[in-house]
Amino acid sequence: MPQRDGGPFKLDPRGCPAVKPKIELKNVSKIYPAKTRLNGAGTKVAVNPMTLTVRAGERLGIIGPNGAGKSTLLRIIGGLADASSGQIHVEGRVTAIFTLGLGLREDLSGRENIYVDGELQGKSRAEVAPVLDEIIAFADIGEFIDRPMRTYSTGMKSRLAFAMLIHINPEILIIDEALSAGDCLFAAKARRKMQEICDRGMITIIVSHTMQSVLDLCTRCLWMENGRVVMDGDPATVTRAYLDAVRTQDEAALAEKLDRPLVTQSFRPGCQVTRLEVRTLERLGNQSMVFSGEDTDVLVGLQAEVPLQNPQVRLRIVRLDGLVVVDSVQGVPIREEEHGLMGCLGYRITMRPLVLGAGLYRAAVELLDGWDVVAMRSTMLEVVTRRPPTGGRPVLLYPCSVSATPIG
Amino acid sequence: MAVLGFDRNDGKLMWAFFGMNIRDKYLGSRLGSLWAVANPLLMLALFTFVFGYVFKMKLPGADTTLSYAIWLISGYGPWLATAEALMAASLSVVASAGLIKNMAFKTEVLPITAALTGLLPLGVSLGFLALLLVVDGNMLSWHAIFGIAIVGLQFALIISLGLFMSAVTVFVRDFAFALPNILMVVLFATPIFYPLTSTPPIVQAISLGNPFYIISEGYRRALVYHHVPDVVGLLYVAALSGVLAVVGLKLFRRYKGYFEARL
Repeated sequence: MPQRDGGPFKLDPRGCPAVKPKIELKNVSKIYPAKTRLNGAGTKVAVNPMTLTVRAGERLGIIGPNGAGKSTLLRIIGGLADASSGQIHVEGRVTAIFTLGLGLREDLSGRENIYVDGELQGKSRAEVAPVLDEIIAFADIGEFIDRPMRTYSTGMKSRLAFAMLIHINPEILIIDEALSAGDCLFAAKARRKMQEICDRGMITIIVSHTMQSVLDLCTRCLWMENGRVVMDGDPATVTRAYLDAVRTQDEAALAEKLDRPLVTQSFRPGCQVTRLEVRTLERLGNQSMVFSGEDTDVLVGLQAEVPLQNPQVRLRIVRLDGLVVVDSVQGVPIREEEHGLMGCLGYRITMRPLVLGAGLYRAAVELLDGWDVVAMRSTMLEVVTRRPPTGGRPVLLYPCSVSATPIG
Repeated sequence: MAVLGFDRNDGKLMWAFFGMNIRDKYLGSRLGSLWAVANPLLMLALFTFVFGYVFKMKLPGADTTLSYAIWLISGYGPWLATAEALMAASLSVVASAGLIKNMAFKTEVLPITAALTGLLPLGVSLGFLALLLVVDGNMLSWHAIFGIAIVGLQFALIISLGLFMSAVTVFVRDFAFALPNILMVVLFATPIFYPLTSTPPIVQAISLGNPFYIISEGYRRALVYHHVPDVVGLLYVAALSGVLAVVGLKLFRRYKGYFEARL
């Protein structure tokens, strides 16, 4: 049976916390039981058994894809949900904010709603009265404060809801998801206020999808996926690793999509691009992978049974996400005595060195007669960098060349 | 200081919820608090008209329609409060789904405060009753003190039942639809519109065990007939409420962890 202990801690007469707030989870998991009969789905494991300790002074950010169990974990810590197993030990008063504007009533005025919200937090009207003006000033909705809330725009509602947060004095603060509210001006005010509130809280736990907020507000970052903690460390490292993983996943998905439209098409009977290979000079092995910085050839085979008056070859290299990196048209040399291109022709485009950055590309070659495309062929191309640069993934990698000249 | 697992903060929260419930019920409408008075009075007037004038029911031993009306209201008024309180309590958890999912608080507070909103129609009914008693020349005597105890008993029973009902409704939503019908059956099965003496002996025996009958008789005896109410019966109701409350709280607390998934 999962246990939960701890409780609001007392302040000693000087106002210093007698016991520091702390959160300890040991082998805590959350399993939703299977729904019987209606759908045969099995149990859903929202959080796998995990052990976590958060000490006073830490500001923890939790990131991860949807359905990773972040909110479930927060709810367990916040006392909203019971854990299915393990022990939870929370010392300190928990202020959990899962949605803004919880108890707001449409037919009451904004001012009345501030009192209602105060009541829900356990503050009497007398306790709310001193901060009332501050809240109204922060929300900045003008005379509407005394009109019923159903007359508010969505932006005004969220601004008012957010403004009600500013006077909380949290010991353990838990915030789920982005508390984005209002236009740019308000968002800047809100960000500053969040900074202040987080400073006041002795432990802060934030779930966010904006990496920037995690970097701004947190001292420690947790990456959760499928109910497990994948990484736990300082925000900069973890957010970068997470973004990289997201990008790789994205690319894998895109690559699958891109696999399909590899085509060989002929728009004029008798004309074809018979061959398209991208090959690094040195290695003859795996032809679908080339190295950045190496000398690379694009070998093209052309065939025309009908003479082409103005033959040209167009090479397009498009990156996985749609960025067109190379789009060049080059002429085909025709011998003087012929009236056009006819027959089979081997064509080679050289790239010395290959300046493409790492990634997946689709290379397409089109045979043109003047402006008309008469045939085309495409293939997948993977570019690999032997020594990937740190700090990003550039589109192009121009090798530096250094030369030294003696002076004097 | 904790009573039955509730501490001072929960008390404050209950007060806040109680206020919100009352405000919600009546403040959204134009006439607002007027409905709090008008609604019970309307129901009382309706049944008095139907049973008193149309059916011309008379009490054995009292000839005037007014005395029947007083007798009726002293039984039906509290029932009105019971019915409203039970219906509010059964829906209380389901209606506050948003609150439960996003705020950590003792969910038991919801059915308790919803049940307590029944105090309002009760107050209106009893007030109107007192008025009628003055008109009839039958002033309240010291026995009215017992009335206060009976109010306490009545709401102890309602709260206990409310705890069960609110939890059941979360898992079986149909219960909230069935409840008004169940209450209607219980209403007409209880000797509220008709005296106990005009029922066959079997029904009389069963009614002696019906807590709602005991409560309504308690009100009648204390307020209208100026007798000390049936103490044994009231103790029985008290014991029943006590047991139901303890069991209800235990069950509610055990299953409230599952609410979140069902709301």
